[in-house]
Amino acid sequence: MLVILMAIFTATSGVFLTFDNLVGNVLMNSMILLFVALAGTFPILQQSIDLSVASIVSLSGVAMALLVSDYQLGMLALPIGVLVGTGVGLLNGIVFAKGKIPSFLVTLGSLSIFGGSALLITGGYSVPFNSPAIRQLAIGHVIPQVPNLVIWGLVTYVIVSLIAWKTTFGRYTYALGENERVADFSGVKVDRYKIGAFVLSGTLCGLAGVLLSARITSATPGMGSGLLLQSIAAIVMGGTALTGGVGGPHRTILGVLVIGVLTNGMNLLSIQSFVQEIILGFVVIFAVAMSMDRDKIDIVK
Amino acid sequence: MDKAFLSPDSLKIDLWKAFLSGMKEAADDFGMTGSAQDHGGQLSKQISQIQGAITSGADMVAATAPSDAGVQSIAETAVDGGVPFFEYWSMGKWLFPSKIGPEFVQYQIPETFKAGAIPAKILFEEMGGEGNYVAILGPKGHIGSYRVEGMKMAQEDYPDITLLGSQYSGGWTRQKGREVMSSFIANHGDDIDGVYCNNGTLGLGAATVLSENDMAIPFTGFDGALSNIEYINNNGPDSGEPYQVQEQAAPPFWQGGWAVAKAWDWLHGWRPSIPERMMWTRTLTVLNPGLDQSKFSDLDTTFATPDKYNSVAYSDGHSPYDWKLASVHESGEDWDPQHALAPIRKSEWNQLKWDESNKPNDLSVPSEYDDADLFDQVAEDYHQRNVNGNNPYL
Repeated sequence: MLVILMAIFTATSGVFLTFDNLVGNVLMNSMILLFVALAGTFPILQQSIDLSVASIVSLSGVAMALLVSDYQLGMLALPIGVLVGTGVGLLNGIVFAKGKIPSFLVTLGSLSIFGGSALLITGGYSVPFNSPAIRQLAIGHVIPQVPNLVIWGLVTYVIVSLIAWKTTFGRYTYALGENERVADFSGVKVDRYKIGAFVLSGTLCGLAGVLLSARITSATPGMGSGLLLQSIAAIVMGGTALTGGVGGPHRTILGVLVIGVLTNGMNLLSIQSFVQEIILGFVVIFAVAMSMDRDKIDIVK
Repeated sequence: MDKAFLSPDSLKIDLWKAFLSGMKEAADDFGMTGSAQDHGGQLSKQISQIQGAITSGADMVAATAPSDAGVQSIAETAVDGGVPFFEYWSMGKWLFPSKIGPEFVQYQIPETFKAGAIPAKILFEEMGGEGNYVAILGPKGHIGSYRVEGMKMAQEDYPDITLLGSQYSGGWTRQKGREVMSSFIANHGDDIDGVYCNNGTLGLGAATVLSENDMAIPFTGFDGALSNIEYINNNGPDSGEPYQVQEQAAPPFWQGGWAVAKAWDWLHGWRPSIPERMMWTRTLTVLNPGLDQSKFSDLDTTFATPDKYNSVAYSDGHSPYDWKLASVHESGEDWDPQHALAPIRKSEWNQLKWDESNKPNDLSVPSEYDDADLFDQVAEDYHQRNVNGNNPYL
């Protein structure tokens, strides 16, 4: 699907296949979605789901912006903002795993709690800050012509993919998605790895919130809106099944790029935004149909 | 120059449809095309759309950021792309267009306090100068919510009017208006004699709840949506239904055309002076035909009948505006803005909610803001051109 889209836009727009557009627009504008989609991949691999990702992005971004603007913490605010994401991810995981409450319901509730918290601590206002150094972390260029946000995204993608492939945590994540009971009988500390997936999800969303705030030198309580459904679409288009155990973060980037390329191409062609919504819906369905490995999925619901 | 791009909050809103119509009409007059993509309140999406538009050849951008804090990012996106940029309504705290770059041509907004005070005065008069009212304020953090300061100023002249409660709605939709009005009625019931709505669409939502509760009381509105103008035409004080006393309208159709005319000038070498970089737009008051306009003759506003307003704002390609006349490049010294504009002076920054509490420590204010004579000259020039020129509402 990605190749087809790129071929279409290359043929219809003279500027689509330029370095500036592909890196400065497509990749740059896809990176926040990449973080959030990577975050959502691990719970889905375990046959769970994290619906609170967008709210965690907002909460982390707002926390970071407030620490910079009101408490003058400067760069120190960045790791604290990420830790806010880690912390609320840990809460999600504990309530889910130890409380034996379905992740769908836990994160549906925490979506509202985190979103409401972001509104409460900002009073509903946006939180601007003035820090060129922090902004440069997102929009500066350590490598000429490549925005730092793109480097952050690609480095994180590699690390997260290695976690999935090369670590015990990664292997057990797949095992839990394949068959949690078998994994449990095999001596896997199931709760620990379930919680771990949500901690990782929260951390990546925290990173997304902090970098999004850095990019726009402000934060708003609704800054993560729209990311939840797009991230789930990207995860599934990449080939990770909602039934768990199949796919992985290394494939999620494909779904993210499909959305990024499609959005950019339609913007370049000045396609009306209402029409864009319709086209995006069709592409999601077709992309999932093309990327699903049906041999590995017994039941489709 | 051949492409103009608009980045509004939502193209489902009449205001932005009218804005886009004006932009397209002016673009057509200058041999260009106009297009738009709405961002739905998502700043990152808006940045992406503006980048895409510039990459694909947009020669100017007009936009409204989802919140005040987002203005700098979208302005810088346009500046990085080297295209003239016009911002409406939202504005960053202590953000001077000249500090962002020469491409940030102009920021425009209806005068917030005055625009907020005029509907309040009409409402209070319609309530007979006494009684209780409630206020629906729109989303917090949006500059539209600053109109409430004008409402408070107006109330000082009406000691027998009491504000029972005010509430932010969290959005500009009818549903939000319904939700807030329902809670007001639950708390205050028949004690409510009038409703100050910060936006016409919110007002129409509130009106449905009032109607369900048989409360035929007056309410206010802002932003000039077509549905509000129709409601005003169809529901007078004697209709037995809740009735909207007025619609306070920025002239979105004119704003869209103006942005294109000034972008055309900018691309042909014209550069605005500092006072022209941030300007107030005069609002229009579309008064309910059932109200006596002579009672409000002391208000500093331009009145328009609903039909007159519709014929201009929703003329869809056949407006009475002459866009080439709005261009300095095309019309030279005879150029005519065709609507009232005035520079935003230093003494009026409080209307943008720029105060000491949010002033950056290292801020340097452009020195021109201390030159009152310069601002007087620009204000007088725009005033004379407007009163002597082509104003379709006069």
